[in-house]
Amino acid sequence: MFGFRRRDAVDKAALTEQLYGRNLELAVRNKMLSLLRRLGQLMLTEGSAKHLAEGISKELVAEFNFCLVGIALSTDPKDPLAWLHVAGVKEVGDVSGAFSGSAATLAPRARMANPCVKALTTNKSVVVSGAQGIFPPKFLSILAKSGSVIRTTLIFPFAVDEGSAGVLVVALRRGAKDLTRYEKETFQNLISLVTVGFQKTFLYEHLRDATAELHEANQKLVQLDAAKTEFLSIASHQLRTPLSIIRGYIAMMQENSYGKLSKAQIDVVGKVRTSAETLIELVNHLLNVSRIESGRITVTTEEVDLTKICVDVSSFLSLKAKEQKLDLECKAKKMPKVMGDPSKVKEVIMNLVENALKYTEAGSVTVNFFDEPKFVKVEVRDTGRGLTKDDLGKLFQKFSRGSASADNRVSGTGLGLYVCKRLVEAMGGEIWAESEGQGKGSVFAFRLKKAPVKNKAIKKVAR
Amino acid sequence: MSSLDTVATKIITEQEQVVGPLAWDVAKRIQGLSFTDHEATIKGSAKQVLEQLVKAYEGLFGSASREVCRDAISAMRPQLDEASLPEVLK
Repeated sequence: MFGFRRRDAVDKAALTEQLYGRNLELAVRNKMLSLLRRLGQLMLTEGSAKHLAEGISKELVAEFNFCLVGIALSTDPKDPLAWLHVAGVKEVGDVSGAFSGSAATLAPRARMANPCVKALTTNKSVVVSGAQGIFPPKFLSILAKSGSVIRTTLIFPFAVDEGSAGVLVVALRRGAKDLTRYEKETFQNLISLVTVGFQKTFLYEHLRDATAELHEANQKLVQLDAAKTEFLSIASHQLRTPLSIIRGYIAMMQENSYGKLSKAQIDVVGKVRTSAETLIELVNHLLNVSRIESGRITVTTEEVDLTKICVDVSSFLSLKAKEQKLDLECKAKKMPKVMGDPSKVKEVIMNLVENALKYTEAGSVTVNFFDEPKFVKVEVRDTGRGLTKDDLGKLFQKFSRGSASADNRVSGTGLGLYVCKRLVEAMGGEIWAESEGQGKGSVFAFRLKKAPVKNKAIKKVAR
Repeated sequence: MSSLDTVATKIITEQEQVVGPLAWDVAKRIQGLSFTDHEATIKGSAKQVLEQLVKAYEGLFGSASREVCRDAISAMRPQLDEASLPEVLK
């Protein structure tokens, strides 16, 4: 009976010890997780390596009453290890002055005899008795005055990226064997967290620098773009006037206003006229582009009679179509009016029909209208060279020309469709191209909103 | 509050993290210890009181609890007079 009781008491004591051991484990883990969580939060919020180093050092000193915690970093293998931040216990006071100036450098990365460099190079933590060779003499004398002595220094290396690496240095006024279980477990888990923290701040710093550089570059580009637009605008105006004069005189010459031209002269004057017209077209497009891009073009919103515009365009271009032996047909049945700027709608249709005539060697160019529930679709269909899939993707970009223009038989600026797109979009519509492939003709279409009721003209700036 | 009072308080609070409020109940049974809020004050021989405190925990929870007591004062140790500490804490 007595033996049973005694065994029972022994079992209970063993059980209590076991429970205590488990509780202790949990308590240590709890404390460690709580500390790591605080450090984790710090790492999430700190954007600079210096502030992160300060936060970590202060937190560790406050938690463990370590004599001193410092973080040194080297951002390039050629650069020395330098102190980012050092925090000491209250009794030691503010030690930042002892780590400034030349004392901010811990050691060159080539000095293998230095325990911090050794830890960094071998990527293994190092335990040093005392503090010689690690801390600046000025700090050691401050420490001596405060009556404290560093008995042990723990050095934990961490790598941030390919070139950058650092060390977490912990100075103790006791031996390494006196480290508590909590301290040991914390160190085991701390370094990976510190590494991630510095990696994050480095990424953030790189990103912030890159963003600032991009912003600066963008500002310069905006200035350059404005200067270019201004230059284009001025230059185009200066070009258009003499070109118009040249065209006028050529027309007069072709009408024999200066005497009858010989066959050879007719041929040459014809070529000069074509070239002058191409130049005028280019200048007009450039002017349009510069006006659009500088926001100086105004697009009115009013009711537009598409039928009338279509008749005007086809009568204007019928001679050109006839010269090319093409059928130009405008199926101008009575269509509902659309909302837009009459002069811009005319410019778009004119551009699309001129383009179709340019790229069609034989057959016809037809302008069709489609009455949709909310829109009216305008379609310019030709039997010309057609478009590849690649063309369809980039046709409406600035200075882009379709593969059909590659043989240089057709002159063009690569700006007409870009201008059309910007104008149609400014009027709240959309524009696109379709083709079944090269040699199969193409369709250029756009749609604009139907006019609901009579509207007064509202001015709007094209962007 | 003397540094040895702080040692006693630190030991109890560290034990509290492992066993909860029981740590204070154990401490209250030690002769020579009095309490104001959550701070302990030693009356009489600090060395003896601290030894009793550590042994009380050790008697209840085993040798691991003695390590907890030692760890509790580890960071304070450089500022303490080693002679004032009982052997169980060395």
